[in-house]
Amino acid sequence: MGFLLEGLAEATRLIMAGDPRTYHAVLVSLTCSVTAVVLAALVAVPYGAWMGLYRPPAYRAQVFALRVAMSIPTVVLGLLVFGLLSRRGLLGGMDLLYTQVAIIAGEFLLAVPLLGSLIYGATARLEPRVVETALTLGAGRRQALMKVLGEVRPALVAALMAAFGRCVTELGIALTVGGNLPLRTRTLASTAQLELSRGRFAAALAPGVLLMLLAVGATMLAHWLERERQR
Amino acid sequence: MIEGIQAGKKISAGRQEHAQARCWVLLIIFLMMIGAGACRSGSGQTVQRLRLATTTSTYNSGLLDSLLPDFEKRENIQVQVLSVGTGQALALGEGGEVDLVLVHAREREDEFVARGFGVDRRDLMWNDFVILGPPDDPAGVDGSVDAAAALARILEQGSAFVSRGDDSGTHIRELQLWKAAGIDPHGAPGYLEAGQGMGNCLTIADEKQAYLLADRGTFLAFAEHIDLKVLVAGDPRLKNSYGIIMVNPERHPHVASDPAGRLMDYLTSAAGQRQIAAFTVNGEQLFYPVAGTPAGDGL
Amino acid sequence: MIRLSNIQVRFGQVMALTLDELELREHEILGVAGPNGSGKSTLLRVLAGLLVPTAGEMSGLPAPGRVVLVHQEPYFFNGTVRENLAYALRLAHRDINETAGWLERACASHLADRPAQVLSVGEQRRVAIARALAVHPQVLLLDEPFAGLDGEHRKIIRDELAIFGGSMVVAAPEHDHLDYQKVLTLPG
Repeated sequence: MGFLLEGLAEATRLIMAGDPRTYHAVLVSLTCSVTAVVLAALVAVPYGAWMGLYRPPAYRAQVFALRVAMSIPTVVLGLLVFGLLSRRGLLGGMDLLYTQVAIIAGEFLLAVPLLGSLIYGATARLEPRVVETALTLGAGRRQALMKVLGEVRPALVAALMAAFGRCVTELGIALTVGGNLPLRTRTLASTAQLELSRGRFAAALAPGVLLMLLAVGATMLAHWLERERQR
Repeated sequence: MIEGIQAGKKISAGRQEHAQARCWVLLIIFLMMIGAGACRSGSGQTVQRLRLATTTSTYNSGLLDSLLPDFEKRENIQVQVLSVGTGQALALGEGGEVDLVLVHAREREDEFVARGFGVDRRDLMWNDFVILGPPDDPAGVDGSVDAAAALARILEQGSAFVSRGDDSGTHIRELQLWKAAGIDPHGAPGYLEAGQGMGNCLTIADEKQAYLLADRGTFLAFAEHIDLKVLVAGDPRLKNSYGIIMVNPERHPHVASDPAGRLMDYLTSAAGQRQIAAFTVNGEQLFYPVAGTPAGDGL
Repeated sequence: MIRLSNIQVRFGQVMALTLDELELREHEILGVAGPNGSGKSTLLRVLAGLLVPTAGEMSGLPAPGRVVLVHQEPYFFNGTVRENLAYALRLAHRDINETAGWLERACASHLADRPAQVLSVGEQRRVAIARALAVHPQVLLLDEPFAGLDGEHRKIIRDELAIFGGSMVVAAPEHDHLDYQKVLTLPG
């Protein structure tokens, strides 16, 4: 119990002292997770919405696949990316293993099923009149989809936050394809794990505290985005 | 259900909304560029890059973090250290993902070289394993210098024993000791295969007040937090030798054999060995230099 | 001219609409009568191009945007009445300044900056009709436009529709509010 308080004290000390490794871990975590979520959103949001609004052939199978994919452990996703990027893999020649790009690739695979399922749910629940109104006024299917996404902005923001949270706290991908290299691919989560395995419990809490601050910041951003909308 | 006749309106409606979206996209792209920059930083043109795979217990001791920065600066080589399990370190060497492998599992190392995955294996340093247990020592092995017999007694008494169970150097040594004692511990009540790293296993053993085999370095790092004592030490079979091996450049032509050779030369040189001996944790020496090291003559 | 024949629309086990024949000429106003569940709304959706029938032939249907459906409960997007009208005008590549004119015809100028989603039923209907007319469709489809409205609102809507020169299909249980050239009655 005592180490929890020690941990908070140590965390504060590290944060105040501006320890470069700690702050770099923040940068790595943010860069990888934000990039992964943005890229995933570009793919998964229109895809999920298309299935929710237009129910294309075999949409049920695709939704099922998305939902199953949400349960894939991060270690497995990391192994998939590892297989792709290692020397013997398809993209081995590009020397991308143990870089942030590799982590982003893995977290992309993590975020896509989550975003796709959530956006499908949000759009499938809508009354048909919503998209019908856009279509009947002359919007093309893609235009109508974008307009409808604007109508479900709270759900969209919540989905993005969920995906961000999932990515920024994950460990399996960062360790497997990131290599946990300091100042390079060491994220907040993998820092915590490393310090824990070293027995430095207090030092393991510092990245945890920072992660929570990130979460607070992200949630505040989400709320601000929502309020912007309502003005 | 929507189908039917082509709509065909190309120009997008909602231009105002797009302007705001564009701002966000720009911000995101900016962030990505920072990230890409952070990515490429250090993999610069003039600095050579070297990848070394070692075990978690070796890395966690802090030895490499203490030794490498000077070397990196002097030689203008960037050393990336991957801290993984023994099995994984050797597998990475087999696959050519790394240039050097530093582990402590002699049989596996010899096999690695014999199968052509590594060349120029050198002894690097040694330390020892210890058998830890609860201070009240229910199995009564305190002070024993026969590690195999001690393990046998622990199992006989039905005491709990935590095993790494993860194919690590520590685990391999543990299995060798069981073999020497003529016992198969699997399935025995009290024999727990944790399948985790040394730190986690120490924590588990502490919680359960069980016995376990650990490397002294990790134990020292955890000593303040746990209620376990060194009960058995000094048996020659508890000696833990570390070897460093270069990944075979003939098998993987891209291996950075020149920087790898220089690191190996440094670590096995008199100066490097002195540094290794000088490394302490909480005032205690962790690693011992290898006597009679060959003069460095890398590839 | 629009022609539909032998139309069947099935949702799973349920037959939502059966129609032998329908013809709609330019400038014609067609009333569609029938009890609840007879498929009036379904027919409008088919005509709007929002629904493909399970069986049957269709010809002469204009593209969506040239045939506009006004729902019985019209949907408005997040934003003001003005913004909703502007959206429609942009889709049709029309001048946004036409917004003011359309608001007047719907007697809704005073509602211009109100959030469209909080309007009353009557207000929504007349603004929705203005929105539909603003894209200048060839065919206008109205799903029970007079349901639940008082005499004053009915007059406003009738006046709005009076200036429309294209063809109209109006689904309504009673057919006494517009001068229909033809009436099609769907069986229950």
